[in-house]
Amino acid sequence: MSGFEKKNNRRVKQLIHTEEKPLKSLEEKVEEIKQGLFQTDDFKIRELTFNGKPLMILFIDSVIDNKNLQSYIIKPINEKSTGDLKYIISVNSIIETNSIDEALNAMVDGHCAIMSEDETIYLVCMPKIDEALNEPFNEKVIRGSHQGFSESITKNIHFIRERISNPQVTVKYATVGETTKTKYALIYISDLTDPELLNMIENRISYIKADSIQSPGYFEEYLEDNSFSPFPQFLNTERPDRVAANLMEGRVGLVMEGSPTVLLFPVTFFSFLQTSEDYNNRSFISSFFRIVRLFSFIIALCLPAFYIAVISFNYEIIPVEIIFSIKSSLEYVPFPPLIEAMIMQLTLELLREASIRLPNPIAQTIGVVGGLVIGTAVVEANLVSNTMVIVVALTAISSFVIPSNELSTALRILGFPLMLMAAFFGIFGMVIGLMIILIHLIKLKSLGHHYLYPVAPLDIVRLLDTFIRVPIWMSRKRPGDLGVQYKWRASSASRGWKKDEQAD
Amino acid sequence: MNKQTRLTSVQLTFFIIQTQIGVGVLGLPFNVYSASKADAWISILIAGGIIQIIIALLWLLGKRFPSKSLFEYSKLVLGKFAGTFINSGYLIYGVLVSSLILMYSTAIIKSWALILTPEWVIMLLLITPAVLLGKEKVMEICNVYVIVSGLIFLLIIVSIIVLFTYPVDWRYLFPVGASGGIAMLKGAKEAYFSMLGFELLLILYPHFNHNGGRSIIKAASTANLTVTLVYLFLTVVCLVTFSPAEIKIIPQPVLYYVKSLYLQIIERVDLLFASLWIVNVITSLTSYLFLCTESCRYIFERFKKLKRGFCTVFWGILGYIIALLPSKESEMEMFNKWVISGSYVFVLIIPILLLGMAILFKIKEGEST
Amino acid sequence: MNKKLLAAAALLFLQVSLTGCWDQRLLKNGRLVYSSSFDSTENGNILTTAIIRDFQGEFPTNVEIQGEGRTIRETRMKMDRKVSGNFEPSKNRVFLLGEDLARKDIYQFLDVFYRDPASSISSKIAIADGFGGDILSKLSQKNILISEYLLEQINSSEDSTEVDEHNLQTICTIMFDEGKDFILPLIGLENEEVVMKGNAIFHKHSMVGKLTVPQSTLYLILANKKSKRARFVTKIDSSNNLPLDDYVAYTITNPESKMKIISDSPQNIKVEIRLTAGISIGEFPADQLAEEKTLKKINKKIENDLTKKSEQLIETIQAANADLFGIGRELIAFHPKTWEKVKWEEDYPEITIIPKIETEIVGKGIID
Repeated sequence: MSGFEKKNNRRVKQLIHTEEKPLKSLEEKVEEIKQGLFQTDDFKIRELTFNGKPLMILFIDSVIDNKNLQSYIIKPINEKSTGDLKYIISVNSIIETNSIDEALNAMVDGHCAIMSEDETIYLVCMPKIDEALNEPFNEKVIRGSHQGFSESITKNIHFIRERISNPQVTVKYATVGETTKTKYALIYISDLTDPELLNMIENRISYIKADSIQSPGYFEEYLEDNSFSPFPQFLNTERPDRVAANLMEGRVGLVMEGSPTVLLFPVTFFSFLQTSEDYNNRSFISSFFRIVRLFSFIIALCLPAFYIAVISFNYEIIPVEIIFSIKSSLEYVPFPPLIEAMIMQLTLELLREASIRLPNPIAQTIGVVGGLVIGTAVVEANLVSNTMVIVVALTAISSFVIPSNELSTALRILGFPLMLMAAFFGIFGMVIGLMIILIHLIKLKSLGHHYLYPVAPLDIVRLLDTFIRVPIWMSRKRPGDLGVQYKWRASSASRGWKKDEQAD
Repeated sequence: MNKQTRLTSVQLTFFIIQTQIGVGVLGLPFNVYSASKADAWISILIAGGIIQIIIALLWLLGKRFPSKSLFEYSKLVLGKFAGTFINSGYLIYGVLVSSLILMYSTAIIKSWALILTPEWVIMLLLITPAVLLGKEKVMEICNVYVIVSGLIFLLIIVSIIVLFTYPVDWRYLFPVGASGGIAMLKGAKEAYFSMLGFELLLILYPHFNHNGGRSIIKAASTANLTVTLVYLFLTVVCLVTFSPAEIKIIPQPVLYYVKSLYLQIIERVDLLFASLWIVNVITSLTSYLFLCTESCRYIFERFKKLKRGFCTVFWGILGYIIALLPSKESEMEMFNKWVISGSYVFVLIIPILLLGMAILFKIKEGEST
Repeated sequence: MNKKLLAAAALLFLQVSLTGCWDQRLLKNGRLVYSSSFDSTENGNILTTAIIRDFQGEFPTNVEIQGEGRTIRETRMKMDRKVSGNFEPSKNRVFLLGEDLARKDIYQFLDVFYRDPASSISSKIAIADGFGGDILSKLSQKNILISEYLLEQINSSEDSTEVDEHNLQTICTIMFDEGKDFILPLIGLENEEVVMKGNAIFHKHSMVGKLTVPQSTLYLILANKKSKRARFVTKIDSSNNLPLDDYVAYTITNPESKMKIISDSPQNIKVEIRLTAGISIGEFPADQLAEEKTLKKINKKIENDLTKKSEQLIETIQAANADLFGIGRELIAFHPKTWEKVKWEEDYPEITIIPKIETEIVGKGIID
């Protein structure tokens, strides 16, 4: 409740602030709008002369179509240069206002503002950029937005601005790379994101002195805390809704020209296990799938190693009812379990790699050939045992359940050293291997933030939220790990209608 | 301001718990039983009480120098030379305890899981993660400890299953008090060895100082209470599952009752459990390597360039080599005795000495600088 | 130089990964023993019979091997020489002990199972009425899943309160307890069939007597160890025209047995075992259960019959000098002074144990 009031107070203050000084010069007003948009870099001004006085057209170039602006506003003004503005501009709606706040809100929503020295601001509604829908290949969902990022930086920022229509969304353009001069933009919500975090990112970026930066991957390697870790430390995504949701948590996004992926930082390990679909499904269902994903993480990491350890060290663990069938499948296999597992895992990686390279229709054939034909033949030729095929297949499926491609690959690769440890020292070796991975994960930081939060440091309330998805109205606070400037997310009164309806 | 970088008193609790619970717990009921028979559980309560008093003493000492480590105020109280001498003592103590833990855990691994694997390999595997973690800061160590504490719950759950599935006989606990007071105290002494680890409060105090003195004593007492209760529970489970004459021949009764458990999916829980328990051994090992690293840092303060990680690796390797030296069980026992008697000096005598001198000469933080 | 080192490292790695490490025991190479029995031979040695499951083409078959030696470990070593691969007894879920062997000190034989970390101490153990090896050979010819067969047999007997729930570990606890003794299932051959014959009574480490199946059930109920079902048959009449009408079969429900030491003077120890139980009639061909009077009459007869049987049972147990009710433990725990004065080994057969049984008919099925 208190958060709700705070939020409201903040707005009221701003309103009073603007009404205190009614008469301002044009420069002052422009400056105020700049401040109101937090000095965002996609805010543009075009200065013209009209009726002999200076006239300014203010707009955010990532939300409106520049071509329309040129032909419907700038061109007529330049041609006529005298008269009533309303009759010169050929658009469907013009709002007259003298509130700067209203102007700000309209500008982020696709209007451009025309200001002269008199009090009135004309807000002109502009047609938006129309964008063909291109579904992101890597992060498909059943329910929810099917919009993916395109490859142009302005369009991508437009997608984000469309989802968070607020003047606080701030965009900072810059270029990097001595030769390539690659354009990139940092995007964040000024009022929310921790300024220290921003400073840290900007500081790290300022150190990049490279000849060419070609993809977000380059950025990742220059900025991440530990380049030798198998775990991804920044989140790559092609989904505008995911970026918008993460910005609202207080994260920072990095959009790059020529790439449909947006980098998000800082992230925790569990961000990689969540999908944007979680919030489109009912909370029970999403919670179930979150737990399934966590489980799949454990299987993908440990199952082959555990199987090897059990088969070659402690087969007493296997129940007596099934030990015979496992043993019978092993009977004619010439290799030790480790080699067997390596063969199968490597075959799997080969298949995966091959199916990426091939065009889509053929890729499916590869799946059939690899999965069915090789699988059966390898067992019939007694090169690999039945059970090992099952184990490796389960591992592969579990690793593909994990939403992040980077993490799932990392997991399968981490499986190899674990398998070695298991083959040499059994379960003991596996435990040591897992312990080292755990220590590594705990040491790992993403932009100075604990990677394993909320498990370490333990935050039980957030932990519950990570494993099960509570109904949205129940999570009233943002996570504290990002040092956000305010934590208020939803008011406890959001479902106050319950009380009204209880009356009778 | 930033919630993440502050250590909480809960983390202190887990730090102490994980240091206390280690390899000793598997054999604790056996050791205590050999001294005080069916009254072993009373001995554990006594030991818990005594340790609570020691913790209070250590806390009083820490409170006088809230933002200083033991290694700093030892120099303040006793002068530079004697202080450094005591600090080196703690360093040696840390290394010796590390190698003692290594020896015992290796012995258990060798008899339960990896019978033919040579000792040096097992010890190397144990010391590697401990060194990796020991060179980190308190924050990271605490985080790991909090996570792996889940294993203690696992042990308790397994014990509860045993209580329900095994034909336990509560009459093995009776008659109460038959072993007599002296035997009970002897049993308490045995239990005390498995409870060592609370002395780390001496060096942890300044790291948790921002939480306030009260919360530190609360956290340390919670840790002690938890450990005492866990030990009490395990001992009672051992006492009621095994008949009196039987415990005498089972040196690791906790593992042994896990062995008798039969589950449909995992037929032999003990084989898994023996390997999993190693994690708790590694945490104890880490704590003592951390002690070494801290004291090493203060002794060689002059060498500013000396990296923290290097200290840990060096003392870790030294502990590893020492652990490899004794080859026979009798030598191990002797080594154990030395370290245990050493522990009285470092856990009791030196802190009391420091406290006494600090009170006598009214040395407090801030006054003498 | 560097290349050579690299090659050496690669070779070492290959060596280790291909052959495994020190402790590796591949399941593939293990010859799993599914059941084994131990008998004593005429010259005092132990004869171990083990059943190994193997393949013949694609079908599993049982292979029987035997080894003789002075200790169980020695017989294992001998058997290991007879089979290809490693002889692996750790998946053994049932052990059979021949009667001759059981009458000696069984702990001495079983020691190897308690000492070996790989052995499964939650395995079942049963006594063979006669020669254990014979039972296994007979079973292995008829049945492929021999270990499962024996295990099922013991488990179902446990469910119907015919044998006590024991495994290797639980009997070890009792063997070391001076105030308690135990019973183990007794399996025998009857007309080429393997049947549960009752229980073998153990005192300390050796077998001292036998209990029939009804006796065992009664004992287990008196000792408060009722499992899922406990069935009895009592003869209540002998005057009916049809012989079947003389009998009533019933199950015991909610039995509650309390042992109380009435007198703890070392010379005259008196123990009372009081059992209250409900009775649910399962079979009564005479069909006259509607009347209250008949019910009472039947109840009385059942009560008397059970009391009589209990007295006989206690006599058998005391004669065998087996403290199956754990009276000794009760004395140690609650009457330590008495315990110090008695010589339990000699005094136990002399003490008075009084069974008091009260029953009440609580159910009679779905017809009267």
